[in-house]
Amino acid sequence: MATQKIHFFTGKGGVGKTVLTASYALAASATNSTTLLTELSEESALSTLFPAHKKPQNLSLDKWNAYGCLEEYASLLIHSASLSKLFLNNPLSRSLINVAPGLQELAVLGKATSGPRNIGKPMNYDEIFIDSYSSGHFLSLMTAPQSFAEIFSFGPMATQSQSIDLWIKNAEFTSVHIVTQADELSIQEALELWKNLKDLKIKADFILNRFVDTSAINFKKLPEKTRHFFENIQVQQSFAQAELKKIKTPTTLIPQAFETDLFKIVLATATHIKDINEV
Amino acid sequence: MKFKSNTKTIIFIGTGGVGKTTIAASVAMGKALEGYKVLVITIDPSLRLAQAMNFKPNGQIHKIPLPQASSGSLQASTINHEKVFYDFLSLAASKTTAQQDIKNIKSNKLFQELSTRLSHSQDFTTLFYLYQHVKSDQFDYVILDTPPAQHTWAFLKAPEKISALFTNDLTSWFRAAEGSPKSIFKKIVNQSTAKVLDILKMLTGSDFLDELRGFFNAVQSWQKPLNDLIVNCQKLLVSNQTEFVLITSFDHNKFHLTQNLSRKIYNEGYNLTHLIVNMTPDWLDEPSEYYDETVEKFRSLYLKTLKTISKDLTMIHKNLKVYKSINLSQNISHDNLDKIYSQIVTMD
Repeated sequence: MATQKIHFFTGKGGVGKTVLTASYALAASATNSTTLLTELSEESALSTLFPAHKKPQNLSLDKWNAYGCLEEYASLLIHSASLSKLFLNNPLSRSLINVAPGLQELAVLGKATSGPRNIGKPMNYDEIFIDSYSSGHFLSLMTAPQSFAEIFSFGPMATQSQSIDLWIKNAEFTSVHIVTQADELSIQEALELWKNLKDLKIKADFILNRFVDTSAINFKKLPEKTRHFFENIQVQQSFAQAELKKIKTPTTLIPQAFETDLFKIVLATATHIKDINEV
Repeated sequence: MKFKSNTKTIIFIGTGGVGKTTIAASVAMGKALEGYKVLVITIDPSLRLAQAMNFKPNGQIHKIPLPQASSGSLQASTINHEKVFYDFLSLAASKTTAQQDIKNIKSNKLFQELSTRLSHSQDFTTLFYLYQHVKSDQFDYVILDTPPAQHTWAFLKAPEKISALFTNDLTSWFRAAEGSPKSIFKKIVNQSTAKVLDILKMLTGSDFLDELRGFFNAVQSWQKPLNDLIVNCQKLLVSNQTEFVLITSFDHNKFHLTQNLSRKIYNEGYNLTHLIVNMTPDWLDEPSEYYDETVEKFRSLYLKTLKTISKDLTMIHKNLKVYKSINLSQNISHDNLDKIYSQIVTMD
């Protein structure tokens, strides 16, 4: 079996992560035999995105709730269902789980990397696409294994944390895509996240979303306010591209979709991604 | 924009990237020019606002000069989350806790990790900082720009989350697990707790268990004052002197999130009084003799969006004052905040 791959999508809030994750997963399902599209956010956005009859058979949807991942994970480590129930219902464990920094994040990553680590029920997907947290929270997510490896000196939690840490830093297995728009704040946040991830030894690439081709616009003929609006887009985009070029990291451009229906945007974007992949 | 006469706290909420910081600052400026004493607490991570207003983002309060004479005043502050977190602990601890206990807990590994988390998440520290300044009674309005949490919900739920740690009497639980059992009931309880401790030890190693025990021993003496403080912070959020302003941007995706948020806020009993749709384009009805395909594609997309947004708005908000503000692409600076404020107009 070919090695499984997982993809994390992150970026500033509102840059279009969910729609892009869905588009990438849909594009991948055209060539994969099985693909999983899952989300970490508390509000379920994916389930409303795909009209049931329009989802390809070989694309599965899921939602990974952090606490649920932890329960699942604890029962795997404890081996006995009754003991793990006792453990999870105990007031000490419960409050520990609720406040212990990063424990739930660790469990999410434990699940994401369970394939290559041979933990639990095998997830038989060629690729897993994870609509992940926005920048700050995503960074805490990726830091969790390392900080837990430091907190626990030995025992299964320590070894688990170390092995999870290795797999999320393995670029052959884990890809991180930072989604951004061309505006200055989004670009700043994307670059900062990229740098922080680099310090953690995690490689990431960029997806510049909602890119507008302004080359055909005849600015001189536009009335004032309209011209300002489009000039501003042009200025932001060249600034964004210049900033991203400086750090020599692959950037994929995704064109602005002129639709209000989210599923139509997913379809258009997935087609665009398939075209890029063929070239 | 108008607020109730007894309102003291205005909290700006909304999903990321909708211009919360700019709007909060411009309302603060507007209110100062109307003659009020205003403090704006900004959490802008890029510190652009601090730069634009020309004050040091060092967690202290700075006086911001007003562009015109006014009997009001504007002060602004960023939050030093680490310092605020320690202030919070010291305030709760001052009367009841020996300095040694404070030292003990600060050197506890679990506590260090927890406090970094809490100060990183910014939710609780922001709320506590707000509480301190509302309580000081030095301002007519304290305006807060909430943390850029993906879901503002995390911010509103922060007090509950942290109080879970201090309300459960976990210290006594630890003792029960280790002390000598006196009754049969206790013995049964203790057998199961001992098992749980065994599992914890197996999973995490005994060092961690020691840290955990140390942590709960150290926080024991100030559980109650900490919890009272947390309750007061929570009360501030639901007080009738606090108004919430929800910001969304002219974007169909974000509007969807905003709808969910506003519903939840109503249900939880927060005082949501204003909604601002930011970044509405100002060029859609500008006459033009020239046809450009890209421009027209945008125009039709935006007109469609505008239609859906106002339809959705009237559906959920009957008592809410709805405003719009135009797309402000120019640089924010302390000179044009009052202009931005004047461009927040009622949507009809």
